[in-house]
Amino acid sequence: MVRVPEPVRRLVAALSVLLFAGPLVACGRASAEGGDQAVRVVANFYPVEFLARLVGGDAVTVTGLTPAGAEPHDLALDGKAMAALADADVVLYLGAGFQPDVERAVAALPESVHRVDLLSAPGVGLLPAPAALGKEPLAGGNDPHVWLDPVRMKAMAAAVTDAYAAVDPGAGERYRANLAAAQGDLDGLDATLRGQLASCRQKTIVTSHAAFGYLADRYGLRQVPIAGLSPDAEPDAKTLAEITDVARAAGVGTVFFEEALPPKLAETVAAAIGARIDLLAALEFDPSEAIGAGQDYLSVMRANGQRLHAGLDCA
Amino acid sequence: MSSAILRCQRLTVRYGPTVAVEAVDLALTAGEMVALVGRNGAGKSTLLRALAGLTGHEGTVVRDPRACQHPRGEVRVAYVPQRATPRWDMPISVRRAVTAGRLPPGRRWRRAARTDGRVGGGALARLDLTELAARPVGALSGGQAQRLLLARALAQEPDVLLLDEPCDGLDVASVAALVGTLRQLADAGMAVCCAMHELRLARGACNRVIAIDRSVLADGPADQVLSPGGVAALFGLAGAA
Amino acid sequence: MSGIAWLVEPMSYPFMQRAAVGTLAVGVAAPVAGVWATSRRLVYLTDAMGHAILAGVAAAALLGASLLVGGLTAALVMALLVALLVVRARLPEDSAIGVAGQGLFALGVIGVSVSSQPRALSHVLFGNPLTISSADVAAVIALSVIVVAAVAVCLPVLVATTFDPVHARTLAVRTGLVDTAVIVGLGLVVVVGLTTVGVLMALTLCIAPATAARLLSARVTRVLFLAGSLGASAGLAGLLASYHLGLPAGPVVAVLAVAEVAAAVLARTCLRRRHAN
Repeated sequence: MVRVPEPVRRLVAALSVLLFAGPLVACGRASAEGGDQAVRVVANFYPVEFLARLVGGDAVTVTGLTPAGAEPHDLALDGKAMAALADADVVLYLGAGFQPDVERAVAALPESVHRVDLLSAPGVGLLPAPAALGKEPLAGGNDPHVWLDPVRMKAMAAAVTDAYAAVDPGAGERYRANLAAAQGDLDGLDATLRGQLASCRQKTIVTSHAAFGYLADRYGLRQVPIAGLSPDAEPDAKTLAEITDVARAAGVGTVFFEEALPPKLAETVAAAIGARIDLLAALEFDPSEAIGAGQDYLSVMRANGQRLHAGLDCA
Repeated sequence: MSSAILRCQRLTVRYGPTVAVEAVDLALTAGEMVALVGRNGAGKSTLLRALAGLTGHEGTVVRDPRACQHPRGEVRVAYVPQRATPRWDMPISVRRAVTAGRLPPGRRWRRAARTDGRVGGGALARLDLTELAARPVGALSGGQAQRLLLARALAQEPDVLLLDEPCDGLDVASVAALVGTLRQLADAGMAVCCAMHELRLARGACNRVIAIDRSVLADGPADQVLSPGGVAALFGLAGAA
Repeated sequence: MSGIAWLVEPMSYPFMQRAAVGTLAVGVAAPVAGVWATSRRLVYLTDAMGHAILAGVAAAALLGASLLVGGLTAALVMALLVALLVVRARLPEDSAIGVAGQGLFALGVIGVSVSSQPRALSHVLFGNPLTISSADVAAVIALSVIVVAAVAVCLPVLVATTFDPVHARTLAVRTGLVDTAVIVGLGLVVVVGLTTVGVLMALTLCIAPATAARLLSARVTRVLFLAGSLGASAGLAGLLASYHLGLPAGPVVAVLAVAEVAAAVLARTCLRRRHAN
């Protein structure tokens, strides 16, 4: 498929830096007057922003790098994002080639900026990239979609807390208290999901793209993704045919689509095997915009649990 | 002059600030063959295009159906463009290209009817193209291509025939054949007006020569206009004669 | 695997059946329109329209209007811009097409990036024959009926205006209107093709089968028939091959269509040799 070519995207990004970066830097300085002491945190996309706010509370101001609706996989940074990075105290991101542009920009930051690749945080064991049906797995590739596992989110929250405490030692106690509350929330979510998915007749989840590997791994499910690790890696005809065969053989009754992707592929598979389709949020975007006002990581993950419970025929 | 089929008065054509043709008065009558001569860029092509209704202009162009040899209530003007104009690599046969002349206003959405086939066939035969009718237009020689364009014009059954440099680039034999055909058409009652370079040809085949350089320099019998002391000589045109 | 199974097995999936019908319909419509693009030297314009249409589709998505109407409007704007640049600014035609096409494309890229759902939009923009819906199939069938019927009815006028537009004007044919109709028709094929089977397949099917057909015949009706057949067969064969090879369908169809041109060049060269001997 032809997409907007990379050079063009880069040109647009570069132009927007020229046009917008100056005023934005000025704005950033002006708005910082209110919270002079606040730690300026930049997070690469929504789940990390969520953690950054959860642990930081009022003591930090969090800026996201991925605009609502923009493809987080292979994101091209815009001027706003570059300006925010230049101004940051702490940068939180996911490495492992999830967003090469972010990794490049982070590498170019001055030594003084505290940066944390949450994928290499202790306790976040990475899984290899899932192989597409009938294909060899990519050598050395890891699956970046760790945020859909609440247990790994806990480990990442601890890494965020350490980073905050290092930059802002005076407020260390506050961060640790926030962390304890956050871990309690995530433990609660984990327990709920565990209960909902403990005894399901259906163990196969057919998903829009391979975002749910860690979720499946945590709760004993088998993911059959339609697109690959990136939603752009759409399947060829034979793979699509094999997916429908596997799904039919497994007796799949619900094909899951994502909040920010067109459901066309999911509809195609569902129509072929006579299944329903239902939403399973991959949380790559702020759910208060992508799903509904007031929604956050925890509420959306609970809703995911209920939809899985219904779609997988669980007791 | 009252028998003019096509008459223009004060005809002026401008391309932006440039005046290509200025205040031309002329009249064409049935049965005459007129040569339009002038140096390159003198406005011969522009004048023909204006007479054919292809170019916006000032002044008037009047067609008089009563002056036609075979009055049909309208004057049909056929225009033969320079040979370089059409897209010769178009995948069509000679017959289909000639039949395009049967595309009259009001009926143009219909396929060629039987009459169209007959008239088109007549035009092909008239110009010795019958054997080449199934050939692709791209496979024709220069002389054959010029005959195709003339046949297409004849398929329009015209009263007035306007030709833009039809002899350019043709060999001697092709020119002689072409001029002979045009002469016959004029003798049969058509008004033929032909832009040309070759003054010798103009003198030999045409009743009348009009020399122009933006406006009309001279208009009269070939012998007079092209005589060594005539107006054309003043403009270096007679040298070729 | 036996030949029959090679053909039949993929067709047991409903999405492959829809993809096959859609590809066949575009495979007929695009080349039949493309014959006029190649004859009228509009190949580069057609290609550039594929880019310009991005702007229209993005604008339509932002305004909540029909993507088809947005894309067609962009095709028209593109044609008008080119005409303006050629006539008023006296630019060479290819420069005018390049400038207008890139300008609209850039606007489209900005439009996509400022829309609230660029991720979803890029998927709408670049169709995939495998996810073609029943409504899409109906749209491409309608397109192909319209294109074939229009060309059949208007063949004499199309021939006259394409072969010699100056002469056609002396016959009181409104050549400007015909030119516009041809460009709108090409725009329609590109827009519908782009949003259903994908931009690569749509553009290649406009150009390659028509080029191959023109190499094989110099009769316009035969060229049209050949172009439609070559386009449909490249579409169907490409779809089946892509299934068995595990490759994306659009590029495989495009490669096959281009291979048809190569085969046509070879065939013609051989024929000439034989004539010469």
